[in-house]
Amino acid sequence: MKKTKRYIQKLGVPRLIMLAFLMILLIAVGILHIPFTLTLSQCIVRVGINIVLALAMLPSIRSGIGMNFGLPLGIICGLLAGMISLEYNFTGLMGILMAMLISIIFSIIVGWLYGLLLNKVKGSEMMVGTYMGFSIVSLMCIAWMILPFHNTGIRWPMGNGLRMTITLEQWYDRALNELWMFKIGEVEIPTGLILTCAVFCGVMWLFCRSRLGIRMLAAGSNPEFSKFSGIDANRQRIIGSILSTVLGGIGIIIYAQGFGFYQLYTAPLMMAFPAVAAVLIGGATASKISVGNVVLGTLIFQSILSVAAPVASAIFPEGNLSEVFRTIISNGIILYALSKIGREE
Amino acid sequence: MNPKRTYKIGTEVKKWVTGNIVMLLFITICAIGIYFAAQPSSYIASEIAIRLFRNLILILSLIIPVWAGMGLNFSIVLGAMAAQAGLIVIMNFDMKGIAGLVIAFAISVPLAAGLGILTGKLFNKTKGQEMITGMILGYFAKGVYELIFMYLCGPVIPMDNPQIMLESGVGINGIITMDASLNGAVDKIWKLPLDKLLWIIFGVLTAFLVLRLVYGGVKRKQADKKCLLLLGIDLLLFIIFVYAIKSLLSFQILCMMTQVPMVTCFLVMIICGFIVFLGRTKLGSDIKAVGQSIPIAQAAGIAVNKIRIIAVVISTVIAALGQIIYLQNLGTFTTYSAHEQIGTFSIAALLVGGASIKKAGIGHAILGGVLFHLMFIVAPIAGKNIFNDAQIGEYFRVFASYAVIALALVLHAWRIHVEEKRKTGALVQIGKEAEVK
Repeated sequence: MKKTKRYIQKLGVPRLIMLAFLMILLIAVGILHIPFTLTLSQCIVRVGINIVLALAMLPSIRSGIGMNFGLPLGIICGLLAGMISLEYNFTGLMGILMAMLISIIFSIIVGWLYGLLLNKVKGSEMMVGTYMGFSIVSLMCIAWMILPFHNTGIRWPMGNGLRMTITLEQWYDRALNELWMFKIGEVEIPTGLILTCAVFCGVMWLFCRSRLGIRMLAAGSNPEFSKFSGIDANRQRIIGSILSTVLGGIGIIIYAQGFGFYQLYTAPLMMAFPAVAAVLIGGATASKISVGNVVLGTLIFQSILSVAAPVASAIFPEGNLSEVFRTIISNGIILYALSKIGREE
Repeated sequence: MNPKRTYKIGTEVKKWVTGNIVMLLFITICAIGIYFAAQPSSYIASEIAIRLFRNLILILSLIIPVWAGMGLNFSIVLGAMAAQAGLIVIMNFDMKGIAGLVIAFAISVPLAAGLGILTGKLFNKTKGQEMITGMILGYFAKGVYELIFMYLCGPVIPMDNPQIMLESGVGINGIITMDASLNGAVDKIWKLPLDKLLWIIFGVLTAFLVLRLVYGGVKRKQADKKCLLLLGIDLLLFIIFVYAIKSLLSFQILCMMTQVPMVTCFLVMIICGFIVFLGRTKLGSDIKAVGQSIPIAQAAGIAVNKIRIIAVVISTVIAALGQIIYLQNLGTFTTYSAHEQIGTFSIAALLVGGASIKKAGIGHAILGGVLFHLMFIVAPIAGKNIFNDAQIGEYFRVFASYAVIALALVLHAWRIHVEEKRKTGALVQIGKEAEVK
């Protein structure tokens, strides 16, 4: 009895609610005769393409910046790099690799500047991050229209600028997913995607245990105290912001290749929120996070979403009930986490 | 000239410029926009009059939470949702005209107040992070709102008016069009062209000033200098106005085109009056005390949490009224997105008027409303004339709204950061001096 109680406490109430909700959805899948294998395949892909975006929260929370609502900045870097890779017609895995490399360059610069800014606005990082993200995304709406891209595949056939959504068929549509893909029964296992995610999670896991990672954690959890151990908290915050932005950029490229298209213009506007929600569901707080939280959270959150979609459309054929659920769940969990911030202090 | 004095003026100017940098930047942008858009002034003026009265109550609803130190209240979106719920209810029962709108408001008041209490309680748990909480709460409420009106109306909540329901009987239509009796019902009651309104304003103002001057003269036996100055400015403006209306054709057209909705105008004035009145009551000074410093307010025996909840409730209820005025003016609204940008645009407008996270007044709301809508009107055409694409202008105005908020947030946080540094710096200095002694 005591053991179960302690276990429940460790797991936390929100996670239990989410798991119960997932259970109900799975039962509904059984009752409504929805093809389970297809749902499972989709679920695996969704977890895979979202995990790096969620992983971007790790360095920012550990370095003391908190939840990175400015993730769209990294996403914009990734999109810009993606567009460059398409412009020069890099295809297949090479294309993805090129896009990632270019995005890292952009992300380091943007993340550094963003980190400098965040050091000046301590205590308001979340709000400043959100609105910096919003501003840059809407500024980039203009940029997508006037940047000198020439490839006819990515421009509107008529009119100005790049297309709203760019299908990746000619370049690297699902290149990572289909790498070494095999089937167990009818469930598709995207080996390449899983391996990539594992590599990124592993690198971040190692990073957390490295000298730099520990210094960052020390600076993030107690900036005053770390000063006496010779750690410059501001510097650690900048490194955290750079890493977070880099992961955001890489994350969107993995997301886009798995999804099959790049979405430009206002699409990145709200992308920070599901990533933040995922890590919070996984047990992270505004000041504490581990790779385990990221993986568990993305697993639960994306499973709920991918199972909810067919269930919702079976009950309500019209409209998009699963989208409503997504809004309620992701913002509800963020509110829950926010209400805990004061108590922690 | 005294060098010390000029230096002082220099710092004053610098202080004012840094304090109002958002507004100054925006005026520059507007000026560039007006130049390139080259629209007739009468068109711009009439559009501003429409939009200003349409949005002003929503902007005013933000002021009181700023006093309470809770920053810009992003959760006015909840008030807007309450107003839309009220409108949906009256349209379901086919209520018409101004009476219908009054009932819609009556329905939305308890709803908005209830939501305001819940919001306030949440804000009390997240002190210092009210803005981000309010914003996320807005998104959360959007989800709940969609769940109620898209899926529960029909099967769970009995509604069957085919005018607003989808054909399947589940959910409210995506676009709701008000009938002729509701469309602009408040605005239609009484409209005056700008020149007549200005005649009235000048008349009332002059009479007021003269009376005050005479009254003051009789009582204190000396002329009130400030009052005299104001009267002089008033008369000067009046002469310019009379000259313009008699001889400038473009001004005549401008005045004729600009129809001011008087009842809406009165409502705005009532809200302004309420805010001014509140500022002078015990409650108002308590709110401001809480905004200054929570520990000090607590020490003075003010029930901080209760005061904060009251501030949010007032804000949410005013926002509900504002949204009803806004929607009756438009005549149609998108059920699931009409409330979405209300928070962002109202906040951006208030900031453009020179308000900040810590300071906001009626003047900021009015000036901000004018400037912000000016930008909204000229941006698409200016974008078309500069870049050959109206879309760029439309993206630009969204960017400008977000950027204004971002800039205001950064400046505010930066100022706190600098102040804290100075404080700790001073402490260190004191410590060092103590050590030396």
